[in-house]
Amino acid sequence: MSALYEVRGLRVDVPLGGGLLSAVLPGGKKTLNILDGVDLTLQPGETLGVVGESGSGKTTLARAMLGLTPAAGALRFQGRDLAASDLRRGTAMMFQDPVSSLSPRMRVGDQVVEPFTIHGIPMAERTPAAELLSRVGLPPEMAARYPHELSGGQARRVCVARALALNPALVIADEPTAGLDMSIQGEVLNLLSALKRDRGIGFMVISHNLPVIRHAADRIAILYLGRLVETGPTAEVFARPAHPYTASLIAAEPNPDPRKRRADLAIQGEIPSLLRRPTGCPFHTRCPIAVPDCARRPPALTAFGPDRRVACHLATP
Amino acid sequence: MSDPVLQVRDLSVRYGPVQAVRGVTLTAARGEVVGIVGESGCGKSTLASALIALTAPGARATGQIAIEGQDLVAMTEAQRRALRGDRVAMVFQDPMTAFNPVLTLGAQLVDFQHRASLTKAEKRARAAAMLARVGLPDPELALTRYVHELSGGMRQRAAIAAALMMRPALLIADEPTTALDVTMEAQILHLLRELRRDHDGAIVIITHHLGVVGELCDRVYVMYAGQVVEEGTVDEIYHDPRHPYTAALISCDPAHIADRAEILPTIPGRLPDLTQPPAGCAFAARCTLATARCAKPPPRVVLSATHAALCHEVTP
Amino acid sequence: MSSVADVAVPPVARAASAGALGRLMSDPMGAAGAIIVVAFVLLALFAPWIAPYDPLKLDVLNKLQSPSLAHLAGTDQLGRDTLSRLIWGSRTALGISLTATGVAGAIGLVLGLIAGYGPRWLDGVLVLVFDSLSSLPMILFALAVITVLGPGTTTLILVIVLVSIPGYARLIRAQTLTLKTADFVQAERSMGASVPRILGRHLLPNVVGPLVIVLSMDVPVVIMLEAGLSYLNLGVRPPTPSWGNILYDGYNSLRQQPTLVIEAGVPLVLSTIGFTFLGEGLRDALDPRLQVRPR
Repeated sequence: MSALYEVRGLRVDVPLGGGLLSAVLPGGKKTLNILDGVDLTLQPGETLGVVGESGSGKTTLARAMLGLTPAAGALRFQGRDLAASDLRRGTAMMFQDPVSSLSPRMRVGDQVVEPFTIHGIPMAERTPAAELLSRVGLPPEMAARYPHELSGGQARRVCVARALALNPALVIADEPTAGLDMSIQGEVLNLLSALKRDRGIGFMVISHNLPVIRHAADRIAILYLGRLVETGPTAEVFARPAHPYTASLIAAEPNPDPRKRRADLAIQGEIPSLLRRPTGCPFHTRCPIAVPDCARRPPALTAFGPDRRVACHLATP
Repeated sequence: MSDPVLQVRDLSVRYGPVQAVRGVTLTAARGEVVGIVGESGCGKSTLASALIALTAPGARATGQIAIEGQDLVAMTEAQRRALRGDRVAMVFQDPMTAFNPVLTLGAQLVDFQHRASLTKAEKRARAAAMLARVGLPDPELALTRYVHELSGGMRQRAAIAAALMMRPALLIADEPTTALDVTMEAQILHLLRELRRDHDGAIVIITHHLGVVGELCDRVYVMYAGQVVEEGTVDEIYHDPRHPYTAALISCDPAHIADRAEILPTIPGRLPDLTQPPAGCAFAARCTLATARCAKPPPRVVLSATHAALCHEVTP
Repeated sequence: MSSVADVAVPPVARAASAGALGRLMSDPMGAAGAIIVVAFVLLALFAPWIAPYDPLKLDVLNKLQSPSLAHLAGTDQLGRDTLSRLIWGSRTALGISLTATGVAGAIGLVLGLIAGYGPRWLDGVLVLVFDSLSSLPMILFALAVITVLGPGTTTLILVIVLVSIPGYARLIRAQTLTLKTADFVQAERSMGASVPRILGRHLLPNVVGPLVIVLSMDVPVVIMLEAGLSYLNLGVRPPTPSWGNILYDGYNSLRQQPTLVIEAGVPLVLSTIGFTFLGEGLRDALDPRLQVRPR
């Protein structure tokens, strides 16, 4: 079974400053490195959770995978290079803020069917807006509304409806539960898992919310400052984290059970700025088990058990 | 229980046609951390702004908010202003907007101490000491910085320092960690836990995050549709929730569900329209235990010295 | 699937634009401006039927009459009915100003969208062009062009268009730059929308609002400019009636018939007030922050 999406050695740099002259004058353009050395594989019908905090590059990863940001490295969708593949029709993205990802002066009904218009699908083959909306549990009257008239939850569903219009093979969801009340975040997640079950859609869910990832993702990949630190099946990684950062993240999650209060914190310090990237391992400045070598050599992503990888000098299976 | 610093009695706040807060009664004593938990539309943000008397213009409040015995609702605006920053202080959700972007942190912290009769140097020293207390690595340097030059975590620490500097009797924290990364959230919670030992007033935390409540609070008030539907110690609320909404809310928390679930529980239905609040129980439309008598206003059932729920179907 | 568990949504206006019109007319200033502008437009359109006399008809025996029942605004130095000339003058004023600002606005819109959304080198070149054009002082530039091409309506419009484009283009460019990184534009790109589609269907409707307001406020400026140039005999050539050359004639006949000068001023002032109020009203009506979002 060929992979749905393969990422090998992804590297993304963004230009800093500049203007007409700086491109021409000697000295060249300064760049900021956002991601490097990212290897991922997504199987069809699987949900990959990408976990990271600010500066991890998780949103840039999604953009690079969708060809929205220039990137170096190998990106293959359904076995083909991005340019040669059916990327636009085969993938869809759901953004973090659903209301702002809808065009403000266009009606909801027009927006959910816009993918058909963009790809010139003949009218006979189009799914009507009302049906697209009902797939996500919204009444047909919603089609006449404008984005600013929707609540966050409704807008999110509209974005799902739009993402599904062309029956994509892969949907990338950036923080799908952000801003939603706990009692209804299940609605979005249940919707996504129903779609996965019924239509075999592969998902990549980006989130910093660990409990949500634990329920939604089959496998997870953890990013820190633009580097992959750990990958593996979700349940295993949560039960036995291999990387100190993963362990810190899991430990840092506040526990609602007052009888299980943490006595102390495993993690100190702040996430370093991307402009002043630490040498060697990016996590060594905050790592409770760091040794001098960690500041000298960046660790490579190596195998850790049958289906797991970790980037740490000190991780032993 | 030591004398309550904060005593809210039957507070109702309305904005035009919307009744955001309906008959809320709660207390917070010295040395306590009280949590107010609820989802969007429950009225907790309105309650927070009422506690510091910063409700939007056009808000009408009835009832009583007593801080150290003085009723905010009955006061004039000038009297309220005297209280703010001195007896009552607030830490906001977004640390960026809590500070003035064109002044240095030092200038602002000194300015916040305008009531104290100290020299400028003394005020600056006090500000630096407070910044050190909240864990800022280089306080003297931080005082010379502008707020946008600090990271999110440092800004929130500075906001907490600013709030506690004047040793208020009541500290209100409105979603203090919502805008922060997970690892920074853990540090701020840890900080607040430490600080409560030196702070001899009451702390009220307003949040939608049950984890924050579990880590920090002694007692909890659960709000729904402008009312307090359950109150109790944090242990009682988490391990023995009696109100159907509380029980449903806890069971919806993905952190609470140990094994991976294919389908996550949700609470179906929607909040009632607060321009015309229902005569009976506000949660009845969405409640699995609802019966005919829920069309009448539910009684407050006392379950223990600390535990009470607003429900027809609850018995002690 | 159960219905959405969201806060009950209060009834909201159907379309954004229908709401804007309602807001405009409920604001006294905006409504007044809209009414005045519409009145002038109607005056200009139906001038041949509204004007009591032929504006070009000479009647030298009855020159410089004071306002009377026969001639409600009196007559000018060649006996022509002033009221008819003023009414026909609105054709000139509105015709030139609306054409010039309309054309300049359209060109500025397109150039601004391209500069804002296109590659950085193209943006750099266009901004250079805008800066050069706007560094030319308008009156001197007008005089230079008129010297070369001769006075007349077409020359006037050409000058105004060239000088106005940079301002509008910069405005649209700034808006476009801001929206370029907005989520919905990224979403359209991720769906494979072509650049023309993004520019025309998604960016244009969102940037055009402030432009319309600025255009509306600029119309009286152009009216004044035309009046001024006509007063200097560099604009619309007599005998075509223009508020500017009526003013000129009135100034020359100030001793014999002082009312002419005042009468020429009235439509200038009124139209300025009308378009300015309309512009202010539009700005308030189109302000997206005033639109309530359900929580």
